[in-house]
Amino acid sequence: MSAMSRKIEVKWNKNVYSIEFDPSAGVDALLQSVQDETGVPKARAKLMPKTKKMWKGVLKDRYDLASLPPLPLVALLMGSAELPVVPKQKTVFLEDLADSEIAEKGAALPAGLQNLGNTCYMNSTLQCIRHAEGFRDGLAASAGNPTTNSFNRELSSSFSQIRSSLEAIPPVGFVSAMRQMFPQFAEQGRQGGYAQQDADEFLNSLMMAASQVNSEDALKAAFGGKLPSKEELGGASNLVEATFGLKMEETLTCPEAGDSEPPLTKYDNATKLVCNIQGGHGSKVQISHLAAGVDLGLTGEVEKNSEVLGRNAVWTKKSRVDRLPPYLCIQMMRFFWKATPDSRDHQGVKCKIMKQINFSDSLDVYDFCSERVKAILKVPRDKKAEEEEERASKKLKGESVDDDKKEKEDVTMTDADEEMDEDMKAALAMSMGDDAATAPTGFAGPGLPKDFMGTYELFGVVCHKGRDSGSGHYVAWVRASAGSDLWYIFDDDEVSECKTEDVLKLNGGGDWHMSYLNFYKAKE
Amino acid sequence: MLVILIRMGSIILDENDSEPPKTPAKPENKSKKDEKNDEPQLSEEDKLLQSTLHDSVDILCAPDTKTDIAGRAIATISNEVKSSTGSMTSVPKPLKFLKPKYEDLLTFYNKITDEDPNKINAGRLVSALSMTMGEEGSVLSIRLEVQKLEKKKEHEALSTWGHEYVRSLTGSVGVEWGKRIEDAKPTDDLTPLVEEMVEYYLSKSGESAAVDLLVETGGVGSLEKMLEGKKVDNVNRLTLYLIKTSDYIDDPERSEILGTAERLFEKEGLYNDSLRVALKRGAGEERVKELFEKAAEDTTLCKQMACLLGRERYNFDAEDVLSDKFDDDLKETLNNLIGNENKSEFFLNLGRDLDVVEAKTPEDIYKSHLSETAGFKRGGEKVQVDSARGNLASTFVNGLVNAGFCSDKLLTVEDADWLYKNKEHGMLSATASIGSIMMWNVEEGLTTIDKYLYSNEEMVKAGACLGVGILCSGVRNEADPAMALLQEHCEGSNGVMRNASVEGLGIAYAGSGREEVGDILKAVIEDEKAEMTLVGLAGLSLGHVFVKGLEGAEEAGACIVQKLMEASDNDLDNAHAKLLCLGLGLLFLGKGAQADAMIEACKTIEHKIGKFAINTISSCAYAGSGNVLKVQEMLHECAEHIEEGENAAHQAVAAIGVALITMGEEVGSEMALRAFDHLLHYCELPIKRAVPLALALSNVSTADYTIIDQLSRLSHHEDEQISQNAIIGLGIVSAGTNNSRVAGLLRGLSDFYNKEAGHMFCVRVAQGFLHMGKGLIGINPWHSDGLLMNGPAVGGILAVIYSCIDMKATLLDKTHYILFYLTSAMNPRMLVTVDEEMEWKPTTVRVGQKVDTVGAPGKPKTITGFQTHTSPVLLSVKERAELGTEEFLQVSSVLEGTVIVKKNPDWEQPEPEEKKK
Repeated sequence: MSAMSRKIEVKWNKNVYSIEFDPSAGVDALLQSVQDETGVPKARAKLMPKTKKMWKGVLKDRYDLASLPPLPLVALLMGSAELPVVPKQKTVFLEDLADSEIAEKGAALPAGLQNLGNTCYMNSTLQCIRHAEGFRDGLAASAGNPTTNSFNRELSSSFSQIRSSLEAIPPVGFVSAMRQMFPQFAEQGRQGGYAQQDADEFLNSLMMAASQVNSEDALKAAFGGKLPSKEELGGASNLVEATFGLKMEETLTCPEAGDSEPPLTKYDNATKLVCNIQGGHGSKVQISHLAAGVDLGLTGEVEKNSEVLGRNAVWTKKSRVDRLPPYLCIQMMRFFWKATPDSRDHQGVKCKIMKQINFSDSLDVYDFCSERVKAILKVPRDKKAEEEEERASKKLKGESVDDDKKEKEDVTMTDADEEMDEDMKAALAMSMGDDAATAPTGFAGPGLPKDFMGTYELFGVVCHKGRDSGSGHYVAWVRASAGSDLWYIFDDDEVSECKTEDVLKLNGGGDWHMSYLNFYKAKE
Repeated sequence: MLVILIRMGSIILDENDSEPPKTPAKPENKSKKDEKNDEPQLSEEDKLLQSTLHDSVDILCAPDTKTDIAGRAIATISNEVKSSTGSMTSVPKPLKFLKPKYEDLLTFYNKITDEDPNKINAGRLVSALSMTMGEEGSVLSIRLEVQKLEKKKEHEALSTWGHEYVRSLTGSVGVEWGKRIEDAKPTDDLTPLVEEMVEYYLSKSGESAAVDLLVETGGVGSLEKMLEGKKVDNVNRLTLYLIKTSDYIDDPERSEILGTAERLFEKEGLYNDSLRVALKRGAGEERVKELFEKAAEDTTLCKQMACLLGRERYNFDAEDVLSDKFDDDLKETLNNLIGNENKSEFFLNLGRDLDVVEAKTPEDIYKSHLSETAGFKRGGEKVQVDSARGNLASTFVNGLVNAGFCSDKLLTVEDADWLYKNKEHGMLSATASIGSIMMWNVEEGLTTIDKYLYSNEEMVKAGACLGVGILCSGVRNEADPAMALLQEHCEGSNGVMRNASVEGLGIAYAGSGREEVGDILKAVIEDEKAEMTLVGLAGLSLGHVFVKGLEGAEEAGACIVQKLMEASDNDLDNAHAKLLCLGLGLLFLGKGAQADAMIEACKTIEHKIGKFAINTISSCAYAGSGNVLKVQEMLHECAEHIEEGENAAHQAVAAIGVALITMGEEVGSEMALRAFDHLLHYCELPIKRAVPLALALSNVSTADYTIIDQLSRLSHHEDEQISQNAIIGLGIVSAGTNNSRVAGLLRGLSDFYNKEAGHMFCVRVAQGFLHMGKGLIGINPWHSDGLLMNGPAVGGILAVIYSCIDMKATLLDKTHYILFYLTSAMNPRMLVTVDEEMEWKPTTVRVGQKVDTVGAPGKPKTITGFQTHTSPVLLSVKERAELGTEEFLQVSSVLEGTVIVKKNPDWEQPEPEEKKK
């Protein structure tokens, strides 16, 4: 062996290995020694000569090593110890997906709706409503029902079409069904073609039509497959009432009569709150924020017979919400009919109040609620406030406490909170000094999140640009998903992106788009 | 004309001299006019001179003057004339005073016989006087008569009559020479004059005049003979002018001029410069060897020459060719340098020195947080679905940006799954891009890429093959891994494997002229079963391997043209058939008229591809020559209005051809820019679509402001292809510059074309080009102070540009891996100084904008607005460097790439001021 053995220098990966081999033992033996030295499996080891007159190209099994020239041998080794790892999960490519799959995955911008002749009021409202998932799912569940009217069926099918399309779709079916049911939307303009309409009117009509959906299946679907109990529904009997409906507690008091006239209380249903702007000259209150406007909208005066006084007197009407919906709509009273008795050729004009009304990303409705609902909301609110306080005080004094420890404490605290059952909560409420009698039972409304505190998050805005309801242009702004900073702008068939800050600029005060209908979703 | 001007100038000067104190304007005007008519006021001295001269002429012309007295009179006049030729600004006074007597002198000269001893001197005098007064050509004709007589007697130097006289004579000789050549008359008698004048010019720093004269009289070759045995101290200026002149002259004179420059360098021992010129001339191996042998004693110089060969990718095996004067170690070192084996090491050192080692991700390049729609993508609010096209673009960006750095964050890290985030052919490109990342580092790169050769995916295997080719790009290794691994796959039957291997071979052996590689590729082209895509790639690779007509190009050309003639129309309609034509064109890159035969052959092709091939070949043949006639020919092609896009492909090539021909030549490329404007205005779409590509080609890697502006405008053009080409063009123009303006533009475009998959791909690729090698790698094909056009580099750039002509069927379809041909053009745009042992040697260098010093007298500054750095430094296309310290001497006259510096033996450490005291 020693007489016959030769040396070959193998370069691999910047290292040089000197390998002794016996030419008569063949290529396989050489590769075996290479494998021993470098770890490159011999099946994948490729030796390429660096000295001239050796073999050509990659060393083949049949090469006779004895024929190597009597020179110092150098070779380059190509090979690696490992093999490529194929990931278990196969990548799914955008290009492989059908349009509907892409749209449903949300990987592309959602589809818009084509304008079928001044239908922007409808398009923008539909885009907002479409993002109230409960309403949409409930509607979808009823679509197969033979008793469902064509309006609701077409509405539901439009929703599902938008959802699975990348291109803007023409809502032809829905428009004809709508015009059939509500002929006022088929009104023709002066130059022919369909006239512009008020988005709010459309919303009202839509709500009216959709309120016919009242099957149990629909309600079940609207709340994620679990039908709420009767108590939770709180009287809501159809889809609209369960999703957008508010139960209003109206209290009438007669200040003229003083305490002697007992306040009258009655209950009513509504599908939205109204933000009374009261713009223009002579208005008593100057409204600049949405909450103030809503508050104003909930109060009013009516002339009514007072039994105590025995005559008609001015009663103060005060409405409060007794059942909160999962989706809340607030209308800005921007349009009104201004009577012009002095004018010869018309009795009045359609007007729009351009006044700036600020609104924020979220809305706290606590102040608009009835005492009953307030009491229910108060429990989690107080708890939250307490936690905040505790955290703040801890921060103040606990500078020496290291973060880890603090965090741990926090964790145990919250754990403990979660373990607390209803009784404990009641006990807590009691210990917090609340009157035991008002310990809340019941529900603030159907489908509200656990520990709901009365806070809603803005998820859609229908805004109007122009000078009156019969002209101008409607555009919808819809939040991409709860808590997100991303919004989509649905300008008929054009869809683009923007941020929350851009949406908050829709507060009016100029000729730019201003919000007309605000849609809110209950916030966890 | 000039003479008149001078004469007038002198009168005006005289006037100024004798201008009286200022008097009110109007009367002065009148008096001035009068003065002009009158004899100007003469000083005493002048009067004396005038009378002396007039008297002498009178004596001379008097019928009874004796010969010896006449001789003395002539001598007197001659002396006066000779001694007064110093002035440059005015006509010498003797000449002026003799003007009225010129006719007399001429009559005298004509009257006396040849035997008269005064004939010669009189002739000389009259010839000299003729330059201001005589008929056109009389300077020369009289001088020639004198010369004939002089033969018997002693010769008097022309220069004794002053510089102006020699210049005047030069002009006349030029005109006369032209006339005689036209009339087919002998020019023997002019030659001695020419020689004397050239010699005179050379001794008086008049290199440009000397060369001009020689060029006019076709005697550049005699320059060497004239300079034989003499010490030439202005060889650099002389050769610079010669080389520059050669640009404007056609072969065979061009070769002669270059050859002269080459031999002049050689004579002075400047072998490196001689080699530069030899390479420009396209000299063969024999000549290179000869120069090496001559430089053998200076091993450092040899190493520097080897570096030059390495940059030019000249295939030269020092071990086989060089004689025993070189020892084995030196031969090995030279071979390493020629084979670029240390390129990776140097490049990585450069990266470390500039602190850019950290691998970059495509997102680092896209900087999408800076774009308008930024906020959303970051938060991941929109569901991210991998887009195959988007990921493919990222693959290219990743490969380009991290090229040569041997590390990245997508592919070479552990548990990398990026490969599988690509689809089908995208996987091929993704695997191949590992080769790009490991570029030039053959030994480690092979290990990295090896495992993919065993993948179950056909695409990955094919990509690995291509990757092997890419990583061996321009690097020679004795083991020849690209050949060893790719050969068998070229013969296989699988389409993709073959495609990738064929391209890999082309990239790995670009400019090598390797016979074995040629045989493999030819076999693929001749294979009747091969698809057109494969044939096109094989043709292009063949063009790369034998680019610039290396030995073997002829057979290669025959093979390709044969295929073009025989292929079916259907095949020729394939977009990749254009690559076949490009391959053919590359074979004739810079070969000028030598391509004529092939063009004739292509005329027999009936399919429209024939025209395409013809334009390709003729633009390639004159690439970088600035040949105006060829430019016009190309523009003429564009003049025809063909609306059908497919039938106008040859016009697109013509438009690109204009850029190709004028490339690297300043005046020409500026003219071309205007021509492109016209094309944009008046031509049909197919030509307009090629204009952005042409603009890019004429400004590769320069990031020129105006071009960027123009391309930026075109990138928003409503026509899809124009805008896409403009985007790719932006990438090519700014390749490897990190130019922030282009970066901003491309970011803007990525917003603008957010929804256009094709455009988006182009934008991403352009971004990859822009940040190529993190800004350390450029694709400028010109090197060695813009003297040499690197064949493989031009081939690589053209491959990309040609595939853009039909982007939809190539880059945007399955053959996006054509982009990897650009590897051949990628080169570190660095200046590294090393010592004699090729060890890193940081030195002070000044880097500034290049200044054109051709024909400038003295020792002009070659750079302007310079900054001082310590090497290694990066050089942009228009920048040049010079050493900033006397401590070292540069071995190469051009500071580019790898330059060896030696310690200056005369240098002394300057003592600090304080110590001196």
